[in-house]
Amino acid sequence: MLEVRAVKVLGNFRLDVSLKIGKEWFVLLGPNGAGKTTLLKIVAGIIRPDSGRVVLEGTDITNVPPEKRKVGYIPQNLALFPHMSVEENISFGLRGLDKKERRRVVKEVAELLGVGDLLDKYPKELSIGQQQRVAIARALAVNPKVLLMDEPFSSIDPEFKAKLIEQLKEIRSNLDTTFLSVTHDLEEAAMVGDRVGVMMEGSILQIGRTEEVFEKPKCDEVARFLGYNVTKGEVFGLEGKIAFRPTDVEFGSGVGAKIVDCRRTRHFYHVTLEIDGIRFYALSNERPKGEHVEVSLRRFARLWS
Amino acid sequence: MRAFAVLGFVLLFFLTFPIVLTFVEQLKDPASLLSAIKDPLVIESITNSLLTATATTLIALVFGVPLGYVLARMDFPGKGFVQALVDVPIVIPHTVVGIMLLLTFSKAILDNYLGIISAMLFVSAPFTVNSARDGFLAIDEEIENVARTLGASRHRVFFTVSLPLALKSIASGAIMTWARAISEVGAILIVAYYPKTAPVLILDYFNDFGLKRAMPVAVLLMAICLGLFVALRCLTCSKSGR
Repeated sequence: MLEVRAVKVLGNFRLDVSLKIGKEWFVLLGPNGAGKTTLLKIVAGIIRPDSGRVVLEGTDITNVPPEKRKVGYIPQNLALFPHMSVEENISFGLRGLDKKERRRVVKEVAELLGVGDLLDKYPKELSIGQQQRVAIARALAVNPKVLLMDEPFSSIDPEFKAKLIEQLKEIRSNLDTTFLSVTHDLEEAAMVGDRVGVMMEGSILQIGRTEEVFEKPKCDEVARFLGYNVTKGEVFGLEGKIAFRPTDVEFGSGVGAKIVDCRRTRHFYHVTLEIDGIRFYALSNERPKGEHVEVSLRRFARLWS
Repeated sequence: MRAFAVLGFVLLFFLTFPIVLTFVEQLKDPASLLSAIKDPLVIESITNSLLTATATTLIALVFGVPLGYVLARMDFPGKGFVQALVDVPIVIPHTVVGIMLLLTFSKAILDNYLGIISAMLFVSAPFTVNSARDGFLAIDEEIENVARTLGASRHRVFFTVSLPLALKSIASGAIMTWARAISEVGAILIVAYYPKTAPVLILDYFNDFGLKRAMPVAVLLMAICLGLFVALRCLTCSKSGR
């Protein structure tokens, strides 16, 4: 169990978060500049919070230096040691072990991540995907209690990405450890996390099971970030503020709306609609005809504010 | 662009022509070069120069590399001032350096090896500090961060990660320090006329016997310096081949 309560002020930016993570893959999702990386670095011990505590498995590690935390950290640029071979990279954290044992662990973890045949290579001789795997192997070799990953899949091809994510999910549940990763990519967050926290401007606005957060955003900012339309409920004869996805708009019957714009994308028509001067977006399989349509909502979420 | 190349070429010509000319002129008179090699004063002074410059470089490394690391990695009030301090020796005329050192350390450094090394260190240490700092600055800090999360103490990170990665930059700074040290004359003339270093001996010979006597020693010193300089440069370049 990892518990973080931290406040950190950096210039105009204020990070103020409280988070509890169990043995799961937790994803922090949010736009750039939300403070996700800062939070990771606080957990890793690289940045000290102005106030707050970091507690790992019941031990307060707030003042413990990074080398004694047993927290693995993979930064966005991976930070492989360029002057060391893959083998040396992976064995860097295994200093306490004797040579034979070190070899065995390196081999085991390298095989696990599919880089067993790259041990003699140097980082710059590897593809980005291979570098990624080596970085993960290096971090896992020391058997960390938590593995932190900053935008781990941002530079990997989509097809390899899905495969690597599945593999890592399996590795995580076998090791029964905590993964905490950070992304601004909605697809990735949806694919990866057991739970997700949506972070914006230094605060975590919503935490929950991944499906729950994606299905039921609780506030305006989260809903918009997740790609929802946010409008007054009145527009559809409902109360309060509501959020609905562009795919939740059903064409055919219901409330009359003006078609403001219609663009074709790869799979859908992206339609901008307007009711009582309020604009929202809808996705449609076919191009709506005329200047007006009647629309209704298949699903919507009520927002707090 | 062509005009730029021409301007650059003029400067390069100005820098290299005297070197070539001196060698060529000397080769016309190999006998004087031979007698210079056999001159015990010459041998002694060159040995003095090589030893003191090397000692200076080692001292500059021991104290300058840590300072370079601090300047690269730590933020503290007055950092800009410290950085300026490091560069101060470069702007002070070298005879003034000699007088300042003499005032500060007086007899302790008068006419001895310590004096030569002090004078050399004062004018040449900034090269090591600055290039070490630049070398450390060029290392992505995340590499050091990751090394620490893998269980390495600050010390171990420095010796196994930062230092090897900055080595090329530090080596080129050390070469510059060595080269600057061995060519120092102004401060040494004031602090330690004896034991004689090669540049001081060349000046002596020039003053006492004229160009003809000074030139073979100059050529000898230049050949040794250039040879070592080129060799060291090649060595540090090939090390970074990875």
